[in-house]
Amino acid sequence: MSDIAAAAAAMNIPEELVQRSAAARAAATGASTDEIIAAWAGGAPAPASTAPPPEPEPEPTPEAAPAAAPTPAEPAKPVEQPAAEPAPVGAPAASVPLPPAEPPVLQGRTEHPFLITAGAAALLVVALLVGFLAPALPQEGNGVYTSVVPLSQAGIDGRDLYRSEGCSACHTQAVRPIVADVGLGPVTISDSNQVLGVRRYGPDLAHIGSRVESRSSLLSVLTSSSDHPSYAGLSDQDLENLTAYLFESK
Amino acid sequence: MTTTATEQRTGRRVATENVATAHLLVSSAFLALGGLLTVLSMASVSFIPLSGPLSYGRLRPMTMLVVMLGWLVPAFSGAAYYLLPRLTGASLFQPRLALLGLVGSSGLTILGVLALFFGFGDGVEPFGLPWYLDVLILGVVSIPAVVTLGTIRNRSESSVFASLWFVMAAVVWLPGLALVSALPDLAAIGRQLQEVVFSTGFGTLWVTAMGFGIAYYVAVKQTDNPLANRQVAKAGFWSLAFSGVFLGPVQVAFGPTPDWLDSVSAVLSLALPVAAIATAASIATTIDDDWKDASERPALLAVGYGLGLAIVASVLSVFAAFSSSAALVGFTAYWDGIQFLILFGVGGSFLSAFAYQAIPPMTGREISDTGSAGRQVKLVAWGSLSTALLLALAGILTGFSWTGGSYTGSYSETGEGWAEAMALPNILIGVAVLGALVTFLGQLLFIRSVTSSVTSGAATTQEVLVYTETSGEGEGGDDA
Repeated sequence: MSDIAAAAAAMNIPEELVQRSAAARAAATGASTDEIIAAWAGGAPAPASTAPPPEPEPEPTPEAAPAAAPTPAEPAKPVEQPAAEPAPVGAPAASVPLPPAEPPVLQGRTEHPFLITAGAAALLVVALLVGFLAPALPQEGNGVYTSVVPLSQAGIDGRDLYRSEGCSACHTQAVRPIVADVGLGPVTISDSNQVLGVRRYGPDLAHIGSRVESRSSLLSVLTSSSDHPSYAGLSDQDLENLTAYLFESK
Repeated sequence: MTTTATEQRTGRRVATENVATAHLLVSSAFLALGGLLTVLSMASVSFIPLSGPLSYGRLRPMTMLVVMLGWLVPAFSGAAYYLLPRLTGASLFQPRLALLGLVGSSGLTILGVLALFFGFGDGVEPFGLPWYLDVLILGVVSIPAVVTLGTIRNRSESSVFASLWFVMAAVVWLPGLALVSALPDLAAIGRQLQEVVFSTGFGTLWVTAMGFGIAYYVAVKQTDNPLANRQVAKAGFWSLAFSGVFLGPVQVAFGPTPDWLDSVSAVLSLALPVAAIATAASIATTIDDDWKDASERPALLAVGYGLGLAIVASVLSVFAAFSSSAALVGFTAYWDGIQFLILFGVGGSFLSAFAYQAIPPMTGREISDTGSAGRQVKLVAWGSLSTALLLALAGILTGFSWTGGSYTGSYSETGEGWAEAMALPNILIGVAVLGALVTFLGQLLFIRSVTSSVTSGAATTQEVLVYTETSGEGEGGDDA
């Protein structure tokens, strides 16, 4: 078995890690990497430092398993770290033996959780500015083309009912410039006073008023028990307002 | 100087563990109601047109309210409250505030359902609640952020684990999305974007993000393996952060929104599969050979299914982001399929993973029947996957049907023409109800599994957290 394999077996870590750690130790002590590995493999003291050891450079580390071993409830003992013996300054290198083979302790780079949180929050803000707020700002039409529908007071009240009854759960009022929407009427080109919706389990109603002959035909769809859910339970006034809104949607 | 604080914190410790358990149990009750309402609302779209207070227009927001606010918000908040002390080495900040959040979300869910039932909704999806209830919801969903950030501030663990990235980001993202949803009096485009940004953001930035956080924790704990690749995990995290919001505007492409938004959304949503695949790869390599034991460990099994479903959902989403396919599936059941998959499949799987991982150490009781738990995980996963795929197929067929029908003019009619164009998709939506029923069955098994484990599972060693207060950084604070 080679020294590096023996060291890896002794420390129970991958050979690659042994190699990297030994190289780091060698750089810090002035000894050769092979000497360090041999020392780790045989359990002998590693060659001593010939220079003051630099600050340990953090290495990236795999995430340790969050320790949570189930144990009986006992008060934790204060954590005591044995203080390392300071090496005498200027002492001859050979007289300062390092402790025998110990697995290298890998320190993860310190991260600041609040920085990550702030970054995530900032990203959301930017995304909302781009994906929601900027396009949601009221858009002015050019005065020639508009998707604003003139509504009577009954129509406005009917639109409120259209919203509260959740009609937009099944119907859009948005005509797109694509083949699938050919025949539905003028394309919805700008901000509108209708309820655009996002789902079309029933037909689009942006210009429904231009596709029916009269309000009574709309009323019959709303109050009959055909494929459409019946809204016969609404008051006469509500039904009148709702059909007014739909019929004025031309 | 180090000090221990076990005795003086005993009361808080008990409360902390109770907080997570309470969230799990209460959210499970709403899961039962939400699952039932989901099946009912899907059936009402396809073959049972309900009327009055249970018409689809009111039933859908009721369902979304119960599922999102009643189940998923408290369930994942409970998971966060379980994970936080274990990942930070600090006791949970303000556990009573956390419990208040649970009471608030439950109360608002019930209040909101009543408001919708009696016709007080404003029609803005997903909840369709009046603005004052939206404001209260904003307050309630901000509580997990306060508790989480307060706990992290007191941390004694210097490392920031991958699970923690997702948890602390998700708890900040959720109130941000709720703020968008609570803005009143927007014009038509604003209301439309409000709906899609919140709905999809909830799925990506809350459900998926929290789910990934749980998955990292469960994978490491179940296998005792360290995280295999932190850089890949980071790539997954930031990809999710980039793409989460933009899946919303993709749904309304070609609408009256500015043209540049369609392009930006399509491009940025491409990062969603990167997030799912990077996370799955990172966790799969962490679990490594322990996959072979997954069938005997329901928590690990649920992680595997959750990751798989997240990849499927992200691929389906990206398919619809390209302009040609966006024109085909826009406004169809396709997007409902993706939403179903994320909420019930991805969310349900990862919450199962959390429950089966956390119940023994949290309550001192074993999972009562691991075989039943494994079956539950599979039912939820396969039920939600089949439902999603059927709805997606229905959406694609609907798009083709509209495209062909638009030349004849028949589909634009409100009566016979429309019914004819939608005949085949409606059959598929009807079949998808069967998938939703399978999912619901899995959800009921989950509830039974959780309640029977908590109340009558075999006794096991209960995990007791002991917090070590330190004056310096990077010491102690570990679980005892």
